[in-house]
Amino acid sequence: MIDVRSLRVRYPGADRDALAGVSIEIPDAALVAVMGGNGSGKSTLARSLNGLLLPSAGSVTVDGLTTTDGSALAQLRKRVGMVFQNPHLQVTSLTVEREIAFGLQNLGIEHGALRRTVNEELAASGLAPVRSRAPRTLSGGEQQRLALAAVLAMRPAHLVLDEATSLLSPGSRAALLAHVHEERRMRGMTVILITQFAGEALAADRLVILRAGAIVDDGEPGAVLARCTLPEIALPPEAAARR
Amino acid sequence: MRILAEHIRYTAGTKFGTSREVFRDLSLLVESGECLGVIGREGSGKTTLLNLLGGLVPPSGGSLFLDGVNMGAAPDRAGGIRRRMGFTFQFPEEQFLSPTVDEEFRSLFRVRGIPEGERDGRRDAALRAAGLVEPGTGARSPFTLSLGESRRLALAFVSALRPAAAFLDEPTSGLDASGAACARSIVEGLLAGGCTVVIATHDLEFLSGVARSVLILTEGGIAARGEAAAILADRSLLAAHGYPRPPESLIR
Repeated sequence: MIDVRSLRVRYPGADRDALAGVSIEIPDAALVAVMGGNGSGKSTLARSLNGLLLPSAGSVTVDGLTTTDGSALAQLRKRVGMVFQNPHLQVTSLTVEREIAFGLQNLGIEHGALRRTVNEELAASGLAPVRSRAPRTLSGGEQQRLALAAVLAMRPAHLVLDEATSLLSPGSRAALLAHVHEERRMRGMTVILITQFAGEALAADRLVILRAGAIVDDGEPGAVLARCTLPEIALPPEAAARR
Repeated sequence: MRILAEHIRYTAGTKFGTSREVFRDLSLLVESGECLGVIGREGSGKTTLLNLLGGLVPPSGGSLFLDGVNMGAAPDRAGGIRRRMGFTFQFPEEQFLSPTVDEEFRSLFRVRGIPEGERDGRRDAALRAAGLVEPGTGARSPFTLSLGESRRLALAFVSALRPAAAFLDEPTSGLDASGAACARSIVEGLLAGGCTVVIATHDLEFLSGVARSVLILTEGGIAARGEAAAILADRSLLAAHGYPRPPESLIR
């Protein structure tokens, strides 16, 4: 379970909090969507969940491990997989398949299982035809697919997707999210899906709306979007027609 | 600006010994003042096409004429053409260089020779157009902006420059709904000023609002090109290239 309590994050030199007292409990295997305007604190929340950012006040606890406990951080980060908006931040290897294998090697996975997992993720991500290419020569969308494949290969207990499919075509986005949903169904993985797409949010169990670093709504996605009047939130077509 | 590409060939990765032909023989005309949308699957070459048409990377073969100037053969005139162009990149922070947003504008205006008296007005109008209205934005480091805010800033730069041609790579990716509306009005502003605009995107809704024509890229070249309203309403054509449905505005 992920337990965020009264989380406040202020960046050095900033004159306001990026997150101003956010509390949210996310049970295991939940699929929670997060929407919010540009600069509302979505990525700050995402990065707080695996301890990349530490609280200025409040706490983040994952499966009993707290991000401010230095001795627990490595263990916590194994449990929380994170895919960034910009794949350049996390893609480092010389070839696509080595990138997927990299995290598994660090986890000490034995060779046969590693091969199997790499092949599975290459197939699921549609990257098998470019397995030997250098990640830097892939398109932005292909790099996003690679970043997700490499994180999923490590079989995290919880997965945070920070607009991780923003450069993909609608078809690829749907295919990748179907893969994520399947992993979730099979392994009970928790998914926190930060998105600007109402259609993706509607597929979640729960939708949280962030504005100026605070949660302004939290509930069943259809109901949340139906009552949403914020101009920065994209609505599904039927609701948009009413706006 | 009129963009004419003739028999463009482009091979990527020649430096790394893993060369791959992206375009075999691509010819394309974008009329002055036209808004062309470029769509296609990931890896079909959208970003590469923008970089080629904008003269950011030289083609491996063929010619690019911008307002009649052969960019490969007339280096003395190519510089002048380049100063009339605007770009936004897929990863917007790649185009930031300065410690603050204000300084970023200042150096941009200096390089482009925008008259001193116009600079503050252009900057303020552009930031407003991009919805970057929070007080203190000018003093912030562009590298502390969120991805959505960075994209808005990149659009503000192009808006402020009033280029003769603009090349926008995924201009609405990561933007919230109000940001997408800002992007649309910035593109409309550019077009009203006679600018030629080429947009690579997967956002068909956005294209249906601004593009006059749409081109679908596929491995190796152009799969289709036509009026935006026709291409974006062609279900089977879209589906064959990774777009399960036409934009909502064309369904209703």
